[in-house]
Amino acid sequence: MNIYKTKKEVSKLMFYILFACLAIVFLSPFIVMLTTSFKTLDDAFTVPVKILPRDWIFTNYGDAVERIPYWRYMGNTAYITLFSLIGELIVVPLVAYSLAKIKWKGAAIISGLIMATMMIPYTVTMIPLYRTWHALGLTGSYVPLIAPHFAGHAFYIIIMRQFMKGIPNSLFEAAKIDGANEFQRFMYLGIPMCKPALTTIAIYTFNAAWSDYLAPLIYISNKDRMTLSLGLQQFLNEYTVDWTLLMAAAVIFVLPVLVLFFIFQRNFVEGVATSGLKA
Amino acid sequence: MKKKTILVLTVMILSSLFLFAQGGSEERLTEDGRQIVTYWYYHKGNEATIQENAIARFNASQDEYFVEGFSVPDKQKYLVAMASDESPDVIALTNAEVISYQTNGLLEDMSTMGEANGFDFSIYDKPAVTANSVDGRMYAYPLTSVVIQMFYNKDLLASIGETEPPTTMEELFEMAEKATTLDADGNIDILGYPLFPLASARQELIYAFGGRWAAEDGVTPTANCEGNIKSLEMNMAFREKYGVEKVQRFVATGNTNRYTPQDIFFAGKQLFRFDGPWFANNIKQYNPDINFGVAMVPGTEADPELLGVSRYENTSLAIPVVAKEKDGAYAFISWFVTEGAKDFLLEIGSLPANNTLYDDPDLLASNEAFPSFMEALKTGNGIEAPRMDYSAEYISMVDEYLDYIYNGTMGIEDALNELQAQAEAMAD
Amino acid sequence: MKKLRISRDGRNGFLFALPWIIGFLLLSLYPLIMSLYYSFTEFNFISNPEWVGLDNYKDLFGDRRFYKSLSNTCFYAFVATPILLVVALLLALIANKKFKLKGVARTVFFLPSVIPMVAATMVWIWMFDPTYGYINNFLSLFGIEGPAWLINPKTTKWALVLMGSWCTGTTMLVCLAALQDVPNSYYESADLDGANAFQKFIHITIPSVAHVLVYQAILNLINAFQYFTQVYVITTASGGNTSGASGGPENSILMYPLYLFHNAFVYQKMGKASAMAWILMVIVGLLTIVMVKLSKKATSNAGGE
Repeated sequence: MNIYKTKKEVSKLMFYILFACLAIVFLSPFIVMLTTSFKTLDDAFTVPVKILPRDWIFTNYGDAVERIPYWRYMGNTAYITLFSLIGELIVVPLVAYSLAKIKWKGAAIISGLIMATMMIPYTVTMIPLYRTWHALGLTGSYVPLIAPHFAGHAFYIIIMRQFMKGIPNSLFEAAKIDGANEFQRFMYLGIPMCKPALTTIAIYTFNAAWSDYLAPLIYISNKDRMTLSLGLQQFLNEYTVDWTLLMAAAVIFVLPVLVLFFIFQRNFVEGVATSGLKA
Repeated sequence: MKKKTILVLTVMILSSLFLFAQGGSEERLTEDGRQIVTYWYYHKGNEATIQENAIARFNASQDEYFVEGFSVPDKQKYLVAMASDESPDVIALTNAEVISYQTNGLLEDMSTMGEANGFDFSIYDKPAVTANSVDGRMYAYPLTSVVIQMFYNKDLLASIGETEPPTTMEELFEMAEKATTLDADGNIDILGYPLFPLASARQELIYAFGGRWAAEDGVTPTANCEGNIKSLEMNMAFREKYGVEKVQRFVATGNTNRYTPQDIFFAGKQLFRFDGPWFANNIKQYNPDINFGVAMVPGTEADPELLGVSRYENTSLAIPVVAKEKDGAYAFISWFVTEGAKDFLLEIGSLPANNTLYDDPDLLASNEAFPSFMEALKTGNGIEAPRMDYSAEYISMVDEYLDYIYNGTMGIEDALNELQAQAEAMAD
Repeated sequence: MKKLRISRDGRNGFLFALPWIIGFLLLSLYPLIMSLYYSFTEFNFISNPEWVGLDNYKDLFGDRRFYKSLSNTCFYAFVATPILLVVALLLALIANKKFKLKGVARTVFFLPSVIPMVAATMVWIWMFDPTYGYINNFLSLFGIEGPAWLINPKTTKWALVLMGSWCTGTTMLVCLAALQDVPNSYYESADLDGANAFQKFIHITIPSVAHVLVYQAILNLINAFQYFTQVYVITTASGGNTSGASGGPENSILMYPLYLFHNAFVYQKMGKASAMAWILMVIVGLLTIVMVKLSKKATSNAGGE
């Protein structure tokens, strides 16, 4: 009995050790980013590499923020992100509700089409879209970056639809008998029950809009309208990379996403998990 | 129903909000009525500051135009902006890019503009003109030139019992072998042969053997010419002697810490270094104790007259055809390459493209390597980048095939023949 | 009366889905058709499309780098994607184990997936540096000489796999949810039958999460064909290349979308890029159909047992 218990204890300990190693591996890029941002360039280029800085310096942050118009870029990025969020959060539930809870012929067709659009690589539509926005005189503005979010992202619609399907129909039937119209049922029954899915979509959208690289690269040409992800590129010189500054800039860049994630983690994780359940 | 109306209204208001938040056309005049000229360059960090200093001097020099500078995150931005309505009025490009852009008809004809404005073209020697010309017309005015010379570590040279730098590649190879040392694990500690920087391995090492990527006309590819093969044979002999992967690793480290205090040359781990004149300034900044000399890139025993052969490159200023403020752009460019050039060059540590500055005493005194670089520049023997209309793709392909050779993935002749065949196929 | 109600549903359904329908027509269908047209033309940033017939396609089929980029992308789709799927499943199994740090495990494994890609990639480039990178410095503690990850063409793709394994959070969470749905009674009855852990894994766990895995495999495969940002950042951050259009050493990480991007935005061959886009579209479409068919067959077989 005792031996059995020790054996179990040992294997438990082994598991914890294994997990600790794995956790360190997964966290190491964060550690690298953070510690390098407090190092001098000299320190960063010292072999063998020490994890902690020799002398903690904080000037990298100041220099990084000074190198590019950091706060302006952050404002621009926040602006794009905000409107992208508004777009997705309004449109995705509407469309998903139509597909999950309204009985009409189009639902099946649209569901199929949504799946099909997920297969279209961005690069296929990139050039024609560019020319279209250009013809409309909107290249250089944020419209090409934001407008697609007002059409609803295919993947998010699918997540939302899955989630809505999980809400019992009887609830909606009952509301209908009580005289609630379609929109009321959507607004006061559907929406409140979809909080996890909404959170998931919000965080995905936030992350996508916050860190989008290709679209701002293609569409934004005015230096005052650039975004942070383009700004990070400023630390890659022609021949060299300003690693310590880059890491400091990256920390500030990543921070809002992390904060948001930790605040809404519970809902978010639930929403993501639902997305994988079979269509 | 009411709710729906409210929702629809909200959506409309929000959408229009973000549409209008963009609106408000760009003001093209400053408050004191000066025309705004936008100038985009690819320099970053400290070099960007130097660009801004030059711009400030221009803005102080006259009261008609006001130049606004911008350091682009990525050169793709130039193209994208040209296609939109926000094209910059002036862009800084390398001479190779001038050719590639003009092949697509993107640049203003600077020969015509210069003739109309009485520009003195005699400030440019022939290489400066051809490097920036397509079909005999200039599409950019070069601001700086780049030629490469050989820096060498005198202490390392002395340690192998030599006092004079090599004048032929054969001598260089011999010294390089003697100077190369390995640590206990067989990793390279000191690199003799100038395999780093990568760009000079692609250029000066090749040119030193009489090799070329394009024929005299600039448009016929000559990837598998004899000089290229000979150069790569020696290159590979060195790599194979010390292990292809070991060399690769050492070069990779060199690439990471290039121009930092740990740069392999400043750290005393590189005997020969082919680099530009700014390198002398970097040495002064990071490790003034390094005992270095500057000499011409060697020739070969068979062709000693190849001594001093180097690439000839420019940073040039051009006006996109879609620019709105072309007169202002021209005024800025013509100021920058003449009156504005000297101060800029002094700060950035580059060589002039403008031949009236070749003998400028301040420039010559500013950098201990400048006198010999300036001599090299005066010879006008610099080799320009290929100028075929597919040159951008060709250069990417050259890089790819050199990788194959360096890594031992392909034999030298096989790789170069295949490269040549590909280039010829593109020419058709 | 009944008919009227159906039409009201139809109207409501249509109205609710309207934003997406408009978006689909303008942002997907129209560009898709235009892209097909553009693939038969030639133009650059400021010129207008000029009809050239099949020239772009002929050009591509004779272009060695086209095949190279396609094979690089196929590596990512068919070698990396399955590996990443297995990694995600293993992580999910760990996070599903009953131990005190369960919640921590889930967070730690998922965290990398919420990091902006550009920033994450730059950190990884630094980690991969053969001399100053943490990975090789860590390996050297054990006397192992790590490879020159992003410099040696033999290891570049594996570096991408490593980087990808770090970012499998979404798939991991989905697998985790599926694992949690497996009724405990299955395992209990297997215990009674004397099955060992491995047998339980093969006969209970795998079949229970199979449908989720297949679905994730299809999604990840589609994403693999669009793999761009990471390689773009890696190739632009490695200094010393003057061509402005690098695909990594020996073009070993010149992924299909990256080469497409080079054609469009560096070489300014918009027509050729459009042709590449359409070829990609057809490949991804066919693959998805095959995958869906196969998965249906597999699941119906499993159901028949």
